[in-house]
Amino acid sequence: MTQNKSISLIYKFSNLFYFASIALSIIIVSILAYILFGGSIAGIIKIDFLNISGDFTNFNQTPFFFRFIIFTVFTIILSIINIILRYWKNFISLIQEGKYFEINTIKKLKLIAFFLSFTWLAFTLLGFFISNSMDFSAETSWFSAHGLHEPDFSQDLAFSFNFPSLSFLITALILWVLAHIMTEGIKMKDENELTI
Amino acid sequence: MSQIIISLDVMLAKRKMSLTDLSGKVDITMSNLSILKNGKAKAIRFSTLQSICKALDCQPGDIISIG
Repeated sequence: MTQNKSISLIYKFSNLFYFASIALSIIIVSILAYILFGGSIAGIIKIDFLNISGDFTNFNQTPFFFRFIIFTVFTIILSIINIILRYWKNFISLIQEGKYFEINTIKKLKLIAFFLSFTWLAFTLLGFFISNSMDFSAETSWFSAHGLHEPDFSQDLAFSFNFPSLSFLITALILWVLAHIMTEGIKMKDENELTI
Repeated sequence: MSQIIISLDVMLAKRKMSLTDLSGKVDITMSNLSILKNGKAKAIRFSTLQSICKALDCQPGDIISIG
């Protein structure tokens, strides 16, 4: 089996990226846990979320419910990201070993596609349910930067597909199709191996 | 549904030849010949068939038939 340099490089990057992501996630979750249990972190915090609104100068002044939501959402998102990266790392590891057309390799690819689809669905649903009550500062700054009046999202049903979440779905679909092609590849491999 | 029957063992017995002898003559591994003999093969190359027929001094129909 010939070792592909680009695959080897991707494998090294994937490993590095995975462990960096784990380390970063631990740091972020630790900070969020510190905030959740009343730790003091000063800053300008503007909240307009569900029925909570107001300006705060420290995270320990914000309501517990808000801190709990932030902690839970971030922990779930980081967990999913790390799961996807772990499966990706394992997938690339199998590819590097030359196990292209094997059930285990395809299973990893399908799981990545599934988690990406789940992430896309979660973000879309979150956007759908929260957009009416959550003030998106990014959108606010974009409108003000372009000299436009800020739209009143509370009056509209602000449901829109944004490009990052759509890219999750497209990637998931491509990976799913790739997994299907590789499944056909397994059949061809078996047939080839049983051709005398 | 009719299926392909491989009678390699019959021909080997007729020629008083073992699978090891055939493997040496036709340059095909023992495991591949076993797959062929046990009817687990999905396809056979013309070159393989030709070399087996040459080694066993027979026709393809003596080895392969439809049952």
